[in-house]
Amino acid sequence: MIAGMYNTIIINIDELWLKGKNRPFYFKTLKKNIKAVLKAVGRKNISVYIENHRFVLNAEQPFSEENIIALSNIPGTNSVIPAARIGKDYKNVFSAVAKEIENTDLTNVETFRIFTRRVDKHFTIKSMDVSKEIGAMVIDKFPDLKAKMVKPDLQIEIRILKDFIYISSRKITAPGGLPVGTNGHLITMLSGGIDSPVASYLMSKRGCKQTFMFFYAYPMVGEEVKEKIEKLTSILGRYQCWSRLYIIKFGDFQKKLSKLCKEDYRTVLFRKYMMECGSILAKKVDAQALLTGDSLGQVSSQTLTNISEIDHFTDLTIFRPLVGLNKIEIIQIAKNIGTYKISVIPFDDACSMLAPRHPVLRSERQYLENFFEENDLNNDMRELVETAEIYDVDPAGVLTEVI
Amino acid sequence: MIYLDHAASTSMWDEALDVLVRSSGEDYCNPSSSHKFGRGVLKKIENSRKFMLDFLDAGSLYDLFFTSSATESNNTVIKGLNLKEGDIVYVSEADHPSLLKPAQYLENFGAVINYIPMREDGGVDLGGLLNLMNGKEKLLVISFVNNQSGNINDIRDIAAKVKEKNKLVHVHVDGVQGFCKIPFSLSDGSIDSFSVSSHKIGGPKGAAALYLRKGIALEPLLSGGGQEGGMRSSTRPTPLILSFSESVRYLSNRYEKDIEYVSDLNKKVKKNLEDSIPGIFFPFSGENISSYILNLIIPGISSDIIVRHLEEKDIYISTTSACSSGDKGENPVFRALGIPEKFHNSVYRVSFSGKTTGNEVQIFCSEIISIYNELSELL
Repeated sequence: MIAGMYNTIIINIDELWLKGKNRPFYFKTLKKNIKAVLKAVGRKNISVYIENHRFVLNAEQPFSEENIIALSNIPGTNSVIPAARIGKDYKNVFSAVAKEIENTDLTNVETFRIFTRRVDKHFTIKSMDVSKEIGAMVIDKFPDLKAKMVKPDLQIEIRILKDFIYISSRKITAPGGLPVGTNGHLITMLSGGIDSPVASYLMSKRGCKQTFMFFYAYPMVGEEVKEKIEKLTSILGRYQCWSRLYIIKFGDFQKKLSKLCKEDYRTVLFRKYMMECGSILAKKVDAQALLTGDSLGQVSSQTLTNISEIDHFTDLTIFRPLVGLNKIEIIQIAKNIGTYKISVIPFDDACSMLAPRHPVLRSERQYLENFFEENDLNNDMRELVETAEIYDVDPAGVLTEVI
Repeated sequence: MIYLDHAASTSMWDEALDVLVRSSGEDYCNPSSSHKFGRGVLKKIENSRKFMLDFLDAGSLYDLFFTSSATESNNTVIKGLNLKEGDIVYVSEADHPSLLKPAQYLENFGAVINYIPMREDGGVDLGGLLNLMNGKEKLLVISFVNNQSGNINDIRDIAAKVKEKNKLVHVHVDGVQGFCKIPFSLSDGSIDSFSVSSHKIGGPKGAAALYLRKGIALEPLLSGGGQEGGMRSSTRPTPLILSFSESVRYLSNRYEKDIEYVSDLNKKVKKNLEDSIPGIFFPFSGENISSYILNLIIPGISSDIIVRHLEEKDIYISTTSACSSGDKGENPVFRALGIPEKFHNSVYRVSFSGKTTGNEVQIFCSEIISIYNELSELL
């Protein structure tokens, strides 16, 4: 059915079924997130209520395709069903079903099935009878369609609820998992690459609120890199519910550090101080852990030794949800969420000029300890966080600079 | 701000800006209107046209049409000649896309595109070109001054020799980087068409012109009200045209002095940088290079990094390559100009104007030297 026909959206929830005593909290958070998305896409006066463990959204003005897509990005939801809502009068059902079929692209549709759920058992006609009768009327009116009970090309669902009957034929898969805001707050260390956006998405699905952090190496890299990060954040922000992006002006510090340390140790030390900045920001915004896109063995800074070394650099827990994933698996998720095509735009997010020719694969603890003892860079770290460029990211993915 | 990218575009002369502002306020009628107001404004445009024709000694041999950009002027000629299947077009891979792209477009109509052989210094290899000619060529497209290298082509000589070999060749010259900068005249009629632009010489953006030898028929790009003798239908933008011709008038009184002045600045930069940046070299130099353009190559550090460090200090020069663009491939213009690929990420174009001061040039030199020193410590 074409967008603009649906004045109801039914949202099925995901793991909230499992949450015993905490269930009200999870439902409340999810409801708040749904309302935030509606507000961000400019929809007002929408009633949002829970019926039979589903969220039902009713609007006077039909939902647009953009509205439907925005709602289908909300973690904690399993699927989104755009539906036409009619009064509980059986004789209206067929015309609504016919309208749904007329507005469906039937190019590849030969078979159909009517599937009725009678949640309201007071409704006198049984589900099976509704399906049979309406199905027969469909065959009469649309002689090219054949009924097929298993794997039809088009399934039209009739849901008979307490106050209304809902007709629908589409079910859009949502991210699933838990509502953002129910599982703590992370600092997401974004690069312009493929991995970190995927890590962010995975942890959005686990209900983690996130503050994004990008280390911007200008003037060693160009402004196009920052624009790329803004585009990535715009996508990732749609799986959040109001987040912020901190752009740390890191270029001059990188130059300073490069002069102070052995060339081979530059990459490891850049990471160390990024973690340091991350920890300072975590304290500032009340986050409990850091999130990175590390995948074991992918590049020299992601050897087991170097990853363990990085863990010594901060007291905070570091989440690495991609640690055991293959590159191809990461790429597949990146493609699904729409970050891949941005990540592969060929702008280096780090300056190749500062990259060591032979990055150290196993860092020597002693060298690092001596380095930290000789070089107190804490003030630099604090200043980097204090002078960051900050953007608010709304649930529709719109960035607004915080001045 | 220190702006040394005048070959890309330059600030307006106060004189031209005054005319632009005044004319925008006063000359608002349509110059094609038959009433007295319209006729009066048209007269101003015709005076500008006559002045610009006279400036290149082109009065009796050429018409001049006002256009919106040199790109439009170039397209008007290249596409307007109605070339047919098998006609040969000569164009240089070292030239601006507004010459190269419309020429390549003619391939859709069966024209054959050949590339002009180039000398090492970025000039046209005239001997090589004449050897390649076989009588089927219909169009030769070259620039007066190459916008990247600054090489000055002896276009009258090239046009004359090419026509000696095949008098049916139309010789089109993009004069943008030489107009009002290098002494030149169209008096011998050897060149068939010549494009010039306003914003490169301190006039407003959105104005340009085409000198076209009388008697040459072109199919216009735009049809409509028949303005500009039917060559360019569109209401004439009076303030832009008057301001453009004012910038020509203003420069006509000073450009010969500017050449000497700019040449001095150019030499100073060269000397200063040569003494302080090891390995620096200047791929195009000599008599036939415009003093307004200085190319330099600093091996070892990507040019985009240095250019961003300069922009942090509010200093602007041009580089066309970018390490962070991820485009590690060859730059086709540099290749055509004979710059080895390993230097394509290290080329800078510094370009001057008569307004550039000695102090600005001095600050630019000391800043780029200190940036180079800082960055080379990190290598």
